[in-house]
Amino acid sequence: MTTKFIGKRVKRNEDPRLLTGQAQFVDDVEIPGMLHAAFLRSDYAHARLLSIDVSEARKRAGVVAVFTAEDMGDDWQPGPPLVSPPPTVKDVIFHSRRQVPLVKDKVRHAGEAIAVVIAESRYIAEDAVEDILVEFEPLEAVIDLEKGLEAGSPLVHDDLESNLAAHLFQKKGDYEAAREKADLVIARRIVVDRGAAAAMENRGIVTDWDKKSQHLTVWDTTQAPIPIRNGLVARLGLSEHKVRVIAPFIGGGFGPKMMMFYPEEMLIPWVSMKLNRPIKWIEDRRENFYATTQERGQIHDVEIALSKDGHILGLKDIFLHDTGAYDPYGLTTPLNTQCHVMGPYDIKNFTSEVSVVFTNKTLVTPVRGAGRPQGIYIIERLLDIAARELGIDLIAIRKRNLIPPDAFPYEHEIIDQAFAPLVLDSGNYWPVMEKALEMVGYDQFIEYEQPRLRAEGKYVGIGVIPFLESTGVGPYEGARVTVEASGKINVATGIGTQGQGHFTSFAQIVAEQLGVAVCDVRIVTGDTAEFHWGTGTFASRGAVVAGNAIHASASIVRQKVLKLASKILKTPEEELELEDGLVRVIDIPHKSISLGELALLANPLRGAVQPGTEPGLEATAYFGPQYGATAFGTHAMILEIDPETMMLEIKRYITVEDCGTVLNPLILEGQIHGGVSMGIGNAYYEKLHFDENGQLLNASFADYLIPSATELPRIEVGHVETQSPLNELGAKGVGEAGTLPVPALFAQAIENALNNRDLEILETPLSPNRLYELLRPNEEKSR
Amino acid sequence: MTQILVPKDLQEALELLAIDHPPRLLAGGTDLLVLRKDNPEKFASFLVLENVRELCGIHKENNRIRIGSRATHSEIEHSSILMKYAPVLAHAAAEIGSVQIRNRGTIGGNIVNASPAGDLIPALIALDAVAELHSLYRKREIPLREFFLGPGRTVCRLNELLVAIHFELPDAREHGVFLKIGPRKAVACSKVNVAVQALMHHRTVEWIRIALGAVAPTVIRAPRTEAWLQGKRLSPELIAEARAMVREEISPITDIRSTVEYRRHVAGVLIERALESSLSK
Amino acid sequence: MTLPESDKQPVRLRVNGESIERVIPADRTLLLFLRDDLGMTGTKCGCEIGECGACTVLLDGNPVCSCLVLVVAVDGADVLTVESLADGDNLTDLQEAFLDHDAVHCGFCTPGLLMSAEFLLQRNPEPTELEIRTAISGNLCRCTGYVQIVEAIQDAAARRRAKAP
Repeated sequence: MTTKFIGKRVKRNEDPRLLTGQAQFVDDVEIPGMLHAAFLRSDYAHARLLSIDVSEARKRAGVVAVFTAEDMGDDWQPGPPLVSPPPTVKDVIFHSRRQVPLVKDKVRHAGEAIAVVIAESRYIAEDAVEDILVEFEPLEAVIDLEKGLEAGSPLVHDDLESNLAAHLFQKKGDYEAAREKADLVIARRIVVDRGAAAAMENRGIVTDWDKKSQHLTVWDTTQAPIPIRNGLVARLGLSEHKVRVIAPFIGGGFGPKMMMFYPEEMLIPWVSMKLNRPIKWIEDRRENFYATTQERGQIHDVEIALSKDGHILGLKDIFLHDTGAYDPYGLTTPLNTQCHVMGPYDIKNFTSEVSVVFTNKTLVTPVRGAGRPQGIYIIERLLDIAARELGIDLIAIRKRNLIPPDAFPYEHEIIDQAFAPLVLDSGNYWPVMEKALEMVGYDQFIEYEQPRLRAEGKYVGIGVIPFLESTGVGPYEGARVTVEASGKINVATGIGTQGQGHFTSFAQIVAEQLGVAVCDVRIVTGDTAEFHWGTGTFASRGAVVAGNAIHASASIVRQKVLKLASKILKTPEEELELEDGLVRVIDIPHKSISLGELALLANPLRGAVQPGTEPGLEATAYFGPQYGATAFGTHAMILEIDPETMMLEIKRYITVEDCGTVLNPLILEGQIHGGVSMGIGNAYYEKLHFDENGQLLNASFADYLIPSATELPRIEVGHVETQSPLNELGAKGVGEAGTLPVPALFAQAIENALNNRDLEILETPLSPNRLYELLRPNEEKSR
Repeated sequence: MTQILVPKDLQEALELLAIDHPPRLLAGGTDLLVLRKDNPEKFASFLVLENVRELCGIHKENNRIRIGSRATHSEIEHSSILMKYAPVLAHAAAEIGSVQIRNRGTIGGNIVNASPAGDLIPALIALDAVAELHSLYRKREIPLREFFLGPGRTVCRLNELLVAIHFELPDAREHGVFLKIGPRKAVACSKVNVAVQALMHHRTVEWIRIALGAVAPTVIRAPRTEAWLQGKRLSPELIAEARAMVREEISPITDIRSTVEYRRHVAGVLIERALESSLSK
Repeated sequence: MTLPESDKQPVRLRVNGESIERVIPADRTLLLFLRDDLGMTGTKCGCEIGECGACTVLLDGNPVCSCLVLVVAVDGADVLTVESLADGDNLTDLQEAFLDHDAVHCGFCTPGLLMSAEFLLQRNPEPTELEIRTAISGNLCRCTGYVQIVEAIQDAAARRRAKAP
């Protein structure tokens, strides 16, 4: 397919506003008469709430109201369940315990909201929070996943018998039989710890209730404005067309802004209606560390069975997954882990059993990667260990096990977050890996450079990690495309945007169909008044699902345009082309009509319209994939470690991605760079440290270190395209891809760099200090 | 409610400090305003030093260098006087925080906050600097070595103002090195930092001062290692011994940023590297 | 605002070339003064402890975190924010370079980054990659991995050099 706009490095439509400080973020919304909210949050992770006295706070000048759980009366209800457990998995245990708007009886994590103060200014509200007196009975906190499941452990939810939130078993083939036949069985415990998404913009919400028109407007830092609208409608008893949720410019999402119905999202609109005033609440960074969802804590006891030539015969993974104090997001994250722990390899026998554990820590919902990086870390670590034990090259053992190109569509069999057995739609894995090896100069490095540098006393290492990513899951998205009388195109879709460049990549899709300039396509995302069907931006699905809905709508509009133009220009449709905002006769270019004129003619003021004709040049269409498209990629890295301080420097970083059709390489590369940088943070810089009481010890950017420009390398991006057969664009998602293999890549490259130090890394995140500790017992032994 | 006083000169500042519960001194604000965010009640009043000209400037006076306490880290980093005579201090300043923080943060603030990890302090102690404290009624000078009592605690009294820091003009043959290890390359609090100032003659140590940060409740000197090195000729073996010796002279702790073992190890590594760099001169 | 009058102080600043006089609470930070009192919301608030750089402005020509500056302490100062850069719809060469290189993703860190980059280019017309990375190390970005930002600043420097007499 030759394209004019799709696949081109088109500059972004949205940037001028963002570059000049004119883009509106939630905190920039200002409404006359607006009040400000601040929350009293618990310092304890686990404590019974004995009493609460807000009388002094209410007396403070400038305070309009203070609400506790008790003040909410019957309106106090836990949040709605967001994602149910997969009904398709047999014998699944799932205890749904949802977050509450304000603590009523018991605090379940540090930072949980106890009361909200509404005042004339943020300053006053914050001061008044200090006036509130609370009496707690501190309880022992559940922090450790294994201890949390032991008999006699304190309970996060007193009505349950244990802290088991869910239990899920999946299998394919017969692992035990495969194990019998194996030449080598490797068993390890592998631990993955928690990190934060740390979007630069904290969460926030502004609500405006107009009592006269009974209309509620909500500006929310959400990735999913339509589900928020739907939930508010249900809770507040309003009509859908009386609630408008706007997700304006959002300063980064990365998953946690998807967790619809944070306590504040339920509470602030309710208070706005109670007080009949506009209200603004903006989270501060400290609150963000305590009250915005996190991810990645898992403990895996895993076993891999191999033949002596390195073929994987089977894999068995029993793991614990930390869900924090509540589990509104169901099993999406551990399901993703189960679906990715086999990596891109053809494994016939597989057993996976997950126990999800309630802890007295911040809630867990997907963070960019969403359970997938854990799965990839596990399988790739095991393959590195297996290669070493079998004396097989690291690349060869992987090549030997990759799913072959003729196996697609590949029946993966394990049920994924879409509640159906995963099918891998398409792929050709080895060429992607080969390209990464070429780009990084693997053979050259191993044969010449590394020995040379080692002789100079430098500790340099190389890593290469392939990975797959399930993306673009359903259920659906929709879009409406309209040709306006100005000749410009208006497009509305329901998902939100948090920096992915949708205003441009979506415009390219429409421009391709309608022959207009990309800058003449105006995209609206995240405003329920403009489009009110949809789910949200998550699971690397925006470009795939919304993109294809836009493509479908634009295609219908194109047919309408051609049909009308054919009549007016008295020329068969096949002889017409859409170029430069005009419909023209291919061979007589001056015979043409503009899209704007056509739009006017399609919406006449007088005269008869034929039956069955719709007015205007407009179409609404939906796209729901049969199942998700699966992307593939390989990262390669060369790093150098200071063998004394364990500080490291990345010398080369290569990614090769196959995410199907590339809509805009400029945007795609940016998405990958960003994913890799978050992955590097996950691998070597970022870890949330909770103490035994559930206190987060590094709840600030001074101590939770996200990589700055001096830590991060240049990132070279290569592309391979295997188009998805599941959608017309042939697209697969890529938003999360960059993060997935990075921790596994670090582990491999670090071991390679320190290959004389007898190091086996079985955990992530690492840090210079942690790496030093892992090596120290070896040093002492060798002394 | 916060009261903010903005004196026009040193005299007015000292007068405002000469009361029972004097206001907190605010220089660049890069630490104090952070602390205030979580504990606003502890910061009822501030004395802003922004306009007190007597606290500014970096000067060479006779055979001493005098740095006003309001000199920012950026001014120190780019000072031609310090680059020439005391590069150890200029280099330490360049390692602090971000450009934004260096443009506001001051040497006086870095000293008075008395963080065990403050980056300028080891450099100043290696230069054997002296703090000049003024109150309305008197003026006293305290060697920086004796200035710190513990984390966040110094000999500076509430009615006193740190006006300047000065030290003897280093000999042109002296050599100074500042090294730090943080969790991130840029904009990070030190896990360990070291400063070494030495006079070498044909690879023999005539004298040496070694100061280490974040390895004890205050920045410390390593007197035993210093004394042991004096008069000896630097060699790889000698450096290895010094590295081991320094490890025993420090008393680091485990905290959120680092463990005892890593700090001890890395302190030795940094001393080794600082001495190696002396060796290469 | 209900703070007692005694707590308020008059201040006079030049903000983006315009003289501003206000009576404000004494403990108002420059960041909140710009955003809340002047309604100039281009400058962003990310952490309020000087670690993220989203609030970077030029104070008397030097980049600072406006969240850690008390307005009364810098009475009389000259402040430049992101709103000062473009002339109407005409972007500066630096902004154009950001646009060309996809250096803006969510855009939340962009205003602060532009101010840090502008300062760098004024001081150092031919910065190396390391100098650029160091100059922006106080501006955290979670979306881009800084790759395209560094490219954009390099390109902007080249454009400026090409234009220079």
